[in-house]
Amino acid sequence: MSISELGKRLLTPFVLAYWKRREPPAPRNPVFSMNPSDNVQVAMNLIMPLKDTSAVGRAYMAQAMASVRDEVIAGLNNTGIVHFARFTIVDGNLCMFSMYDGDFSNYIRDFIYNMGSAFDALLVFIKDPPILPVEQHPEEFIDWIARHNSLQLPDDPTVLTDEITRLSRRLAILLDANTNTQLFAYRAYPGFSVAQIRNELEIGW
Amino acid sequence: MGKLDLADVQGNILRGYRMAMVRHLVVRVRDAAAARQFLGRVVPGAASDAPQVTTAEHWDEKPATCLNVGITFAGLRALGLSDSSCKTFPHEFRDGPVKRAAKIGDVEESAPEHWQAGLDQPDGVHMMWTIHAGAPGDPGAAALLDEASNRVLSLWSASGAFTEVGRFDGTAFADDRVHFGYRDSISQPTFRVSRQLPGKPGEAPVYAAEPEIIGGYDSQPVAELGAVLLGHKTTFPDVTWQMPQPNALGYNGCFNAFRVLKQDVDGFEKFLSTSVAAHGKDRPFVTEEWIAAKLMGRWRNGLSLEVSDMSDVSPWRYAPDGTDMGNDFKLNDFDYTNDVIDAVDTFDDFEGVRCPLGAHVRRTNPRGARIVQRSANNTRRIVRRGMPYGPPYDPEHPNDGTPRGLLGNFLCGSLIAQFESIMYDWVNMGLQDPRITGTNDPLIGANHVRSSRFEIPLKDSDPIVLTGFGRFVTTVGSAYLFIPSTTALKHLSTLGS
Repeated sequence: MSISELGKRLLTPFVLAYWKRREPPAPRNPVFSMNPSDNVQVAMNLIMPLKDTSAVGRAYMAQAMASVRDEVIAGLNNTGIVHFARFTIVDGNLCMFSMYDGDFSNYIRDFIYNMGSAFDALLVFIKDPPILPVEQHPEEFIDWIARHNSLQLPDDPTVLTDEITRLSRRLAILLDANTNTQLFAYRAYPGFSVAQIRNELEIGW
Repeated sequence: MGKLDLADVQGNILRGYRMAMVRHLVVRVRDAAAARQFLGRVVPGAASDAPQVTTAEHWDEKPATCLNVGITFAGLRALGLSDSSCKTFPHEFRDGPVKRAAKIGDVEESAPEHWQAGLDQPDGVHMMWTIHAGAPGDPGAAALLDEASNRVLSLWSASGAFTEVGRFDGTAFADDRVHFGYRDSISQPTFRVSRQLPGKPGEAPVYAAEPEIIGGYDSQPVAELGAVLLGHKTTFPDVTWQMPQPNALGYNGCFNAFRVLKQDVDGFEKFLSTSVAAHGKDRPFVTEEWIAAKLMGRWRNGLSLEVSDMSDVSPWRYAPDGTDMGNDFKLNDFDYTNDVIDAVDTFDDFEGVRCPLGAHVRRTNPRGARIVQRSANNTRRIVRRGMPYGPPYDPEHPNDGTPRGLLGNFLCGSLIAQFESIMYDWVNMGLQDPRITGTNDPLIGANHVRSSRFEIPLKDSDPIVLTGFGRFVTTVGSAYLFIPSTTALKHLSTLGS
């Protein structure tokens, strides 16, 4: 490692701490839009650290997932608003990557309604889980999910022009506060809801 | 069925008062100790010379006036509620409508910077005192209203409790009509409660064995009390909302999205006539009344299109012997599907040929119709209490410059799960049905002249598509209020002592 590289690594935390004091990172509130196409195919990248990241711990997770798989599929199907959901273990985290239509809290509330007990079974294996059962603590669960959802940078790069053309303080402190970040998402059929696609394909909605 | 002490619940939640006039006094707490003391004085049964808050308890004789109160989050803080208790209120209530404006479509001309009576400055809005006065049609109602509001204003002025920052007056029109000419307040959730019987203090409460039905009969499921009251079973099976703590504060409380909605009656009437001009050629059934009915899902006299799709005279109006039975039979007893048990004479209107899929009443309450979010058919129901403001529209003087609209109260147990979900997913996105996704509610939606669209399916031909309409309803004020129980009012009155 070169001296300048080492210097950068050592200095970065102090510089960021100074910047954060001057300009705290923006809170990750959901962004609402009046443009309908912004409100469908919304990404959720849920990253939940496993309690036990060993091979045995991951095996327990795989077993738990297998046991609730049908309930999760039926539940996701019943929400009617989920395009896809992938459950993947990445570096000791259970990740759920999904695309859904509409409001974030409605999505999670539908989760609770349709497959709360399945999630209860999975969350047992997660570090610092929300208060269980989630049915009795919906608001806490929604807040917990929001905290475990990755930061999403705007899909429209013009919003980020300043941040991209120069490494701005704002972007650095935002990424310092949010280790997991979605940089952008591609959509092959932007602006259509699950039900619109299923309706067009005549596969029922 | 929920067990309930009606004397603990404010009276404007479960039932409407059906009175002639209303005044909403928007206030800021001037002196917290005096404000708390005033809350203690208005609790029913308190030994005091102040007016009493009206509860849901049965009355033998309708009072001349009713008094109720809702408190904003800033108001709870101003009264001195502890941080730990404040944190137990749901975050959308803590945010308030100014921060939530984009979510519920209050943007552009409806944006908070245009709001009136100080509602654009949420930190300065602490409570809303609501006074209802007079029986419908009572010419003395205005005097009763003034007398009642002057009484509280003079008490506040003497004690320094509150400063009035704005007021909104409303007057009921005959036959429950509102601006745009529709009959309102027809459909409300029906509740079944086991009423707490009067008992002695200190003894365990006793409840009536026979359940009491609050509301009218229709084919919709009876709503759980948690649809509007905290601490009771909610409309989501097995899901309970977080109750503000302590229990004495949260239990039997209710959230209210108060909205001042300005209505462009002239623009609406002109849109009806231009729509007839554009689509009525060779279609004699396309009249202004028919277009108005298709936009709402009900004829202006309240009759549902599911009951009668081509005429505002009910098929049930005349008995076989010719007797006029009135137009109100099955006024609210209908559905958009014939799958629902007990709903007789319903049609399978999946295609929206009778009531369009995007019509206001179908959008905001899809009843048993197939919708995308399968769990949402009956979980988002809210109670609506409203009264018009401004004089009735006079077609002879279309641009009289007088503001008119609706003072609306949208009551629920969870603002985010009920009121905001209706506004965001359904009113302004149409997520519930792929055939309307991407369009807004024709009457209350955030419509643009360039992008608006409303489809009227026809039985044997292509649909009529209405475009080119803007907002007919503009938000000019809103407040998120917590309507505390009488126990909670007592609790708040003793804070800091």
